[in-house]
Amino acid sequence: MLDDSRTKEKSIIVEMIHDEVLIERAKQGDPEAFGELVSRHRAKAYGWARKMTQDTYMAEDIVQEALLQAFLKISTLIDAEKFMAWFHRIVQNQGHMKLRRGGPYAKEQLFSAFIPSNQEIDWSNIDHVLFKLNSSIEYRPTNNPVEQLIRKETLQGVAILLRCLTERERKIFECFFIEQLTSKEIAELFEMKVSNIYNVISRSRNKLQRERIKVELGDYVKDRKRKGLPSKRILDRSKLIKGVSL
Amino acid sequence: MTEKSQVLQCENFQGSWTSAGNAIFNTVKFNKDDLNMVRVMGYTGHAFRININAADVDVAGPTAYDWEDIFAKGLENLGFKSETIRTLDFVAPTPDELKRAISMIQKSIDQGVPAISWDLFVPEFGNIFGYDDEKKTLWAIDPQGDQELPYEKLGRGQVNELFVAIITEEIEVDRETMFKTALDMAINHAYHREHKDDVPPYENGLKGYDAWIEAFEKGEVSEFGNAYNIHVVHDARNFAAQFFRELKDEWQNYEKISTLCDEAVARYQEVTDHLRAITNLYPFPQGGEPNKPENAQFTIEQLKLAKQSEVEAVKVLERIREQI
Repeated sequence: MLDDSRTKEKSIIVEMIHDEVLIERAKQGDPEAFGELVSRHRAKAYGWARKMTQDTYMAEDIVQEALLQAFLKISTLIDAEKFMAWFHRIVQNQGHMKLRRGGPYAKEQLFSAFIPSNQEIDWSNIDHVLFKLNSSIEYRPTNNPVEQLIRKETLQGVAILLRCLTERERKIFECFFIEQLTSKEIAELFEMKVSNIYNVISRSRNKLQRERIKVELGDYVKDRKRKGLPSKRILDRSKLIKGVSL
Repeated sequence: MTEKSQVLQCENFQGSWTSAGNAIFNTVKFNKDDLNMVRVMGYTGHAFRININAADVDVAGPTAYDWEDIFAKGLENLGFKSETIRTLDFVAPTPDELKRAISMIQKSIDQGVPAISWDLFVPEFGNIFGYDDEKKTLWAIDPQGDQELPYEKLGRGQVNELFVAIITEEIEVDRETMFKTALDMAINHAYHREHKDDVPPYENGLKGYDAWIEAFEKGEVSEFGNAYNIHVVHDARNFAAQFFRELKDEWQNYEKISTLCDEAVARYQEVTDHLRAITNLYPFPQGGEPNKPENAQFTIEQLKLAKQSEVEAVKVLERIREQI
């Protein structure tokens, strides 16, 4: 009982703290203050992102990304009134970055859009997720075999690419993308600072991105060859000026 | 290359501190042999540019502008339609963007023309003049040198952003239009701020000199950034003076225009001379001591004189514009 009332009291106190105070504390690097700001504004942010992407998981992803960005940039915030406007812009930017690659239905669409949402999946285990997705594609009634093949290949591709991460990087990567925990929760899991988590996530992503680029460039070159396009040409170097060497 | 020989190269008007000018010249010379570095700098507006961060005269100033727009306008004024691809600042390309960029580059090289690009080996403009699908390698050149560059490294250089511009078509432009457009671009740049955001506090054109002076008065000048800016702007105005020397001869049958060109030469030569007086104080890349009070005071005086001459120079441009 006593504990309950204490918790209640604590939550009332937290509610009374204005955004300004929280922002001030978050600026000092206080993850709790940031967590509180996030939970206050997360729903709204999610709404914006959802509207932009029409995809639940992609929206969550965008919000996550925006929140991490927000935490990293909070020290540049000037006043509290600007928080919402500014946060909205970050969500929008994240959304645009994703969407400008061809919209939610381009190749980079997250898995959530092509599996029935009621399937039981262990989201904390990416191999399980990929396995489930794979089988759901195989047994899925469809009249478009090409699309089915592309989806299957995409999933296999992701599985291959994930192998190039270290175990720790992969764990964090999985948490971030699959469980959609707040960055604070991930930090607690691994007892790391939020900024470290951000570094690991972005390193994992970069590694993944680099692998993906290699694979796609390989396909690109093969495709050119198949089309009979020239494979090499070098123009006259002696005509070119280098400019002032720096 | 020593700094002395770099200055000499610029004095001969064979190359510029403005890497955008070099990169454009490297591309257009494969199609037109009547263009030279001086005309490229003048007709694309690069001879007239100045862009200074009032906070600290940062090194990014000379290349902080809307590339797509300025390159497209400049190339069009030289007689070329162009196509560009650019990612947001500090954002590396996605695989799709990278493939699109490489295919643009290959299209251009297959037509015998190098592509323009950015941050190949250093964050400056340069050119891509070869490719090899087997090795997945590009041949590229920028102020750092010429080397091979793996496909996957394009847009993942020192600053992680992608920019490629290629020429797609040659178009007819008469010399009156070229001259008029060059003047309009220069006058616009002199009088109107090109930046949408207040921060960073970049000022271009005539106000660029005020921003520069402001930073010196505060004593918060970046050694590296200032040295780079001074060399770039000094070199650009040297090209501006030379541009009008060439146009004076070209328009000698039009007395008024020719006389006014002569006046423009004099004014831009004054700007160049005032700036030259301080280039020695601030060698690049070492930078010298811009925040030392006696250096600052002398620099402020020279910048004020340079600005006065440039105010007059722009007025001359407006008078020429009325004549064409």
